[in-house]
Amino acid sequence: MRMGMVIDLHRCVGCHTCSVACKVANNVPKETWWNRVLTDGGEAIDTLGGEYPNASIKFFPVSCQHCENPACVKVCPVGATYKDPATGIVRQDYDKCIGCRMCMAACPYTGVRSFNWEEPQNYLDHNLGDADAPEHQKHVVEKCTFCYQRQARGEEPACMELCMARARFWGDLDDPESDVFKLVHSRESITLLPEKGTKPSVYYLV
Amino acid sequence: MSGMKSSQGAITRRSFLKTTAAVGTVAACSGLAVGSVALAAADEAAEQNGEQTFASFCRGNCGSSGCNLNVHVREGKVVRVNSLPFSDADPKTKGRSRICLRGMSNVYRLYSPQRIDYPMRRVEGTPRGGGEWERISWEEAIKQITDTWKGIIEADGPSAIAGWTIYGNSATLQGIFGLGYARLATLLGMSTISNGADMGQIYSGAALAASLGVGASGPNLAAHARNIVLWGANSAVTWPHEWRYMLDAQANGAKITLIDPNVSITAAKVDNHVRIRPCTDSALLMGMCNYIIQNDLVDTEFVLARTNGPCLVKQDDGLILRGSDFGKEFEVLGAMPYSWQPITTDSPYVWDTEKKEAVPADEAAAPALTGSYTVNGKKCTTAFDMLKERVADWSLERTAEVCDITPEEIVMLADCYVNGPTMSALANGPGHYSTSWDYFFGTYELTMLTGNLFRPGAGWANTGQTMTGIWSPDTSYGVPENAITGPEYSVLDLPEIQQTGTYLGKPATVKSAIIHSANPLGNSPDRKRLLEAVDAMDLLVVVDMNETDSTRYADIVLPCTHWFECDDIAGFNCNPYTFIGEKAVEPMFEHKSDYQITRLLAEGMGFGDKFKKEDLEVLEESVNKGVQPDANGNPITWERLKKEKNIRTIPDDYYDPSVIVPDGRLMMYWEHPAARLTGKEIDVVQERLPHFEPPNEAWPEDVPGYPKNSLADKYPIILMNIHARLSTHTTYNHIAWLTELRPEPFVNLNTEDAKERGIAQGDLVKVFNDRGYVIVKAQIDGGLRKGIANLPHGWEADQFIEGHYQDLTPRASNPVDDNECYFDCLCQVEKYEGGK
Repeated sequence: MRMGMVIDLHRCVGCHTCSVACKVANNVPKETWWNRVLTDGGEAIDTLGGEYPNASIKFFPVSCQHCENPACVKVCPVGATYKDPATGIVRQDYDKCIGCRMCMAACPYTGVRSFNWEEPQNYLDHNLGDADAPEHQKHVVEKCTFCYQRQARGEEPACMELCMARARFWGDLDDPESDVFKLVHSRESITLLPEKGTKPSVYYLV
Repeated sequence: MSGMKSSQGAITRRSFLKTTAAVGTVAACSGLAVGSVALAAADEAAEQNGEQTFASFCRGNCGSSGCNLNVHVREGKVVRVNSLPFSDADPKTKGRSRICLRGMSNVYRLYSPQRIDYPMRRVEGTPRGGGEWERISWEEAIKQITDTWKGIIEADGPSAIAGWTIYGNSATLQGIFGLGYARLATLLGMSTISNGADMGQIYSGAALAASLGVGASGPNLAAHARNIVLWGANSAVTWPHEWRYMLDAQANGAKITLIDPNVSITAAKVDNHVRIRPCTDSALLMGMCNYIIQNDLVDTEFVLARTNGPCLVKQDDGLILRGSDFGKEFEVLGAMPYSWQPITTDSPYVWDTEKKEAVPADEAAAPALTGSYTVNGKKCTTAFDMLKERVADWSLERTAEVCDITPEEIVMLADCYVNGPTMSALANGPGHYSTSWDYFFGTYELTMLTGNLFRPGAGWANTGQTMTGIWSPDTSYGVPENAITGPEYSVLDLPEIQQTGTYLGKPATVKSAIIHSANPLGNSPDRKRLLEAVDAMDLLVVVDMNETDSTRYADIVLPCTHWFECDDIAGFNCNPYTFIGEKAVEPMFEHKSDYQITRLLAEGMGFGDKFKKEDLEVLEESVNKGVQPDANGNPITWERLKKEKNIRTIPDDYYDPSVIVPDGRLMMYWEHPAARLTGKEIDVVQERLPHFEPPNEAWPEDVPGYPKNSLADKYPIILMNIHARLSTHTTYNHIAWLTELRPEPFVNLNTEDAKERGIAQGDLVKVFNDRGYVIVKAQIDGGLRKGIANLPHGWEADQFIEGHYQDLTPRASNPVDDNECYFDCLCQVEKYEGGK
């Protein structure tokens, strides 16, 4: 089994709904985003690059790529970052993490991980999201977990619950019956930075 | 991420830099084991906690409100909001279920630091907007308001007290359509300060078809449309919920064509993009209609059968020849809601080419589409011919010149309509000018000429989606016995009313207003003049859940409940379902539902006996008294709504709505043009058909036949405030996680315009005209046409460095619709050297 995502870039409108769904469901602290929607266009969010009328814009929702060959796992000195053999999901054990941030340096996908330098701050006085969302800790690295707490209950990751544009697909990339398998095998797709040899489990339809 | 600038950026770069800068300073590792991520333990907690969920629905004005929400509550607090799938949706695809980042963010809005917890009063002796407040009790607040109101009624009559709302909360019992506010207003005889936002669109739909949208939406659009024409719509951003159906249509082979001066996010997704000169859409429509007529591309069968095109128009008075012209008796059946076009049994006449005489339209064997005929000694011409004549001057060449496009593009666009089914997806890009009415009327003409109505995949609709229209709750509670309807004043006229004490030549004044479910002092145009008008009042009361530009200017602020703290049902929305909105949590402080607030005010005014019912009683009654059935023909009841949470009111294959029009014919010719606001003078002859003229202000260049606006030398740039996705107007503009994505206001500039002014990305600039100014950061946007700046809509005074963008926007409008013309605005932009 290799759980993964397929994101249709023509359908994606860059709305950030997946990012906010992730943030709230996982009670992700202030100034931290596990799932971001990057603008490939102008210098600022939602602005177009190039010069009128040949301007262009694209959006890339980016989170941990849950690589088949994860660079982060290899460099973790304490085994806190590991690949779950049952699902292929790259997970972290916050208790083991010593905050060395080697994983952040090794991961070619800048920004998918963040390090809690200070005590993580909630937006409100109470915790948001799933009751079983992971507790956030000071001095550990955190990132997208593919919402393993939700998966354990047989649910989809929060970002997959309802994409407005119906651009996101989720499932077992090894299962020929899954939507993700069919899309990857029938449509042209890319992965981010294939030259790094990480073999991401997130595919983008182009 | 080679070649990709990470623009969500602020966050990406900041967290990345923060990380790298601190490498080598690993903090002590001891104590890191606190609070482990033990999955099993967490799962147990979830079970023990027994999270409750409540059904609700989104009520802000994204223009498409009505997403069904699932509100998760733990230990008496809302912890999460997600989509509540529609009850009849396929579990895998989730059908038409939807949600967006704004709806989800209501969990923050509910507990926001902007929340107003108690009734507050401006400290006496301090200026309005001075920010000095004292907490008062509900009793004190109600007493002060109602004592003041009683005095005003005695001195100036009840119309000197105004109800003032926009679209902040679309529901039935609470909010803009709130039955309590309606009941209070009509019991007292209060006036209304009427909002003009989007009235080009709203009034044209109402006046011409008694509907906001006519045609296919959703799956029907996806399955059947061959062409979708987006008129000035950035649908991928502003109406993302329904955009998926446009993509589905595209995947099914439909072609999407966008008409927009700017290259937008939507432009990146479409098949064709016609980059028109701003505000020349009605000229383009004249040219397209002319091309279609001149080249015999008209859907004659449709025009003859479904429109008043073949009806004979008497050339002496411009009215349609009818039975009464031959002395026949007739009955008046009623009038179209809103525009009051008479609906009668007085048959319109057409020319029968076989009988060679004028006959009632429904009896004609061979009605003539064109021609002039003398009937009863009067010269008559078909309405179609009058349209033909009106557009005759608009050759491809002239149209292309005015619109700054090519003749080939006009032909391509006309072909989009000829090769239907075609959906005209209308939006408010061209809807924010003094000439918006003619753009909407023109698209209607084009749709009729090409028969793109009443068939699958076609229509003339609000950004390509139709509205709930089949079932609605009964609203008679809002109109009690002896109801008094007070006058309606446009917000655009308020400054003159306050200054002159008259409206349309008659005495008028507004001594007090109650603003609710709205933030007009943050959203309405020409804000400085509006603030002066408010300053002339004795008492401004604002009811809101959160601090806004309007509450900041109030004398008394009354704290109302958030949607999740009160009961309600959906009323009008843009969704094929209707919903219940369950009270999920108790109000935290002294918040009261809108309805309870109106009860207190009514009691204070001596009408307590007419406000005995509780929230749930009124709701139950209005649901059970709603007359139309659901999409399957079953009655909609309160019991059903409580159990099912949402009920489908429109089927997926919907495309053929009931349209109320005089004579049962769509109005190619508007026989009785009427202004939206009673008493406004309009040019009746001109308004019977569309026409083109440049807008009041946003015309900065000389175009043959249409010299530039006299302000253009001083203010050469058109300022638009295009809707963005992180807020709906000013709602959601203080959600902390969304302000991380977009921390502060900015103005987007065209690359050349910025270069000419020595402005670089991130520079502070002053955007100004004679009405006002604002100081913001500049961003370069390669998508903007030269001469256009965009300051995205939705910011408030506390977020700007200085000034306010609504200080720049104009009040000048068109008396037909009294539309608010936000984009009809010229300005100058310069680098700002002062301040921070």
